[in-house]
Amino acid sequence: MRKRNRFNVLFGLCNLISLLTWLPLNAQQKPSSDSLFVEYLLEKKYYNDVLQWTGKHQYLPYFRALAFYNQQQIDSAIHYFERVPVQHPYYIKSRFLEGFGHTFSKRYEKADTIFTILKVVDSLQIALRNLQLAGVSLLKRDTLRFSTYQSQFTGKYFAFSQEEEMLKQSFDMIKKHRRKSPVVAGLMSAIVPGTGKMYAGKLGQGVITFIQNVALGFQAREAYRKDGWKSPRFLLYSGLFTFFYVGNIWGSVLTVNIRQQEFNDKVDGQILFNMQIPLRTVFNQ
Amino acid sequence: MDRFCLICRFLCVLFLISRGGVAQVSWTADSLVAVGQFDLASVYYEKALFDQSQKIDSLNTDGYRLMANELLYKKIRCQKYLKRFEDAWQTAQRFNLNEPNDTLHYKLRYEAALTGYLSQHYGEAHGQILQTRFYIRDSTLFSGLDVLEILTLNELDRWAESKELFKKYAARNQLNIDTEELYRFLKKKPKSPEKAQLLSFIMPGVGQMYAGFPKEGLVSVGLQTLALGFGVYHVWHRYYLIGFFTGAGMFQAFYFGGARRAELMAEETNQKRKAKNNQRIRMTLIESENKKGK
Repeated sequence: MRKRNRFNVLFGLCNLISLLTWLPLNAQQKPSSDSLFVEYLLEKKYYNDVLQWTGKHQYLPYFRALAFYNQQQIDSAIHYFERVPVQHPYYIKSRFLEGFGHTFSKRYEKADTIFTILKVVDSLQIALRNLQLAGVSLLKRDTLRFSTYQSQFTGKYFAFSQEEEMLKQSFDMIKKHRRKSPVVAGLMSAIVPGTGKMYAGKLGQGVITFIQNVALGFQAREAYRKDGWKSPRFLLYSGLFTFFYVGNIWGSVLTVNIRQQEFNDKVDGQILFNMQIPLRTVFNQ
Repeated sequence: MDRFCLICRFLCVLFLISRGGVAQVSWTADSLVAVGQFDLASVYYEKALFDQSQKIDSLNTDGYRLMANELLYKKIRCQKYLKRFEDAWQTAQRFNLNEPNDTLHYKLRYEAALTGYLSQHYGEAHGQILQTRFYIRDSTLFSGLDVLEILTLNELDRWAESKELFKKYAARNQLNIDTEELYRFLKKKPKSPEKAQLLSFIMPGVGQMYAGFPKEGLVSVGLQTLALGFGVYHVWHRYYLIGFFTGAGMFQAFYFGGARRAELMAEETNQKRKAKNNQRIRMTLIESENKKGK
């Protein structure tokens, strides 16, 4: 009986020691285990799961931000990138991505401020910040400032030397691009229908518009010649002709603006792309 | 002997503690499922899988496989509740199918095929069904597979095979259903979009009627007659330009547009018929399975 008691006491003691050693260890391991798990989820691209897992206590802001960023929910990503503390190992990366997020959302001034005040010491990161600032300047169409940053392009970093070249090409495109005048397009279309659209760069549309207007004009003329200007047939066709004629002038003015917008969107897309690729390469993002 | 016993119990406690993490997370997930928080439960199952993968050395291969498959199975259940079928299909791809136990093996393969069907990967789902029939030796397990295969074959437009399988299914389950009647639509040829277009070119409006839209066919004929009449009337009265540009212009727009529309209508009719037939068979199967369940 005594032996049995001794056995039970010893067994209980062993269990207690095991638990006492395991519990603090487990508590210590939890945060790092959580970050490892979240990193694993991010690697597997389970972004919704990351948000679910970190959502309860809103902790691990860096990982939440990354999940939002990868889901292209840029505003939410920015909100969490802002909350990454300075001592965090991924603080610099967070600031870069936050700056890019603002650029992507067309908040160029905010992006400019973030990149300008960002303190980096590593030469690669300094060059990367310079590239981002150059990109933002180009998006703002501040060519003078872009030239200043461009002069600091080294071309020696494999991660983004090509993107530096591409930004220079975008700059040249912007410089060479001749903005077309909506007034000229409208006037041209008023003189010869369709030519305003041709001037804006839409040759096919211009030809079709020309044929349409000529056909309606001839029909109105035929109605006038046969029935006189008071006839319903003439009124109908002259009304239709006027409608299409005026519409064509207005359309030519709009076409010039649309073409300009298309050009801007294309160049801006290229610039953003050339800003994002280096971030991916440098930060493995 | 006592010492041996003590060592055994001590090791047992250590083992339970080391496994505690995975089990604890899994229990949390189960309790979340019980209260209907499937979204979070799904992440907890993934966490349990992750924790388990961190302790891979401490588990034997069979234990690891069994536990991982069980967790994946539960995760899929959550994703199905959330109607995230594509995610469920992706999760099913992670099953370790080297399972010697036929019942378990069947359960996993059936789940993979079902998620494939639900996520509209019909080809892959059917492939999974065929593999199930090939790899699992115990054919008594296949009763539930027939329903899934019939539905998958229907989606793949393989109606003849579906009919044959339905016959077998009906015989096996002693269903009082006339299969010939259920699949009577097979005798009807599907509408040919090309034929509908050609008919509309030859005689305006007929293509639409052939496609199953007689009213639209009549409207098309009316519009084209009006346009042509307008043109002819003006040419007759020597308004050549108006007759040509307005009359002929409108006529050609209605003529070519009508033919193209007839082609689309034939495709639409085929789609509607397929959905209707599929629904009829689906309802029959559901009713029969419900009766079996009762």
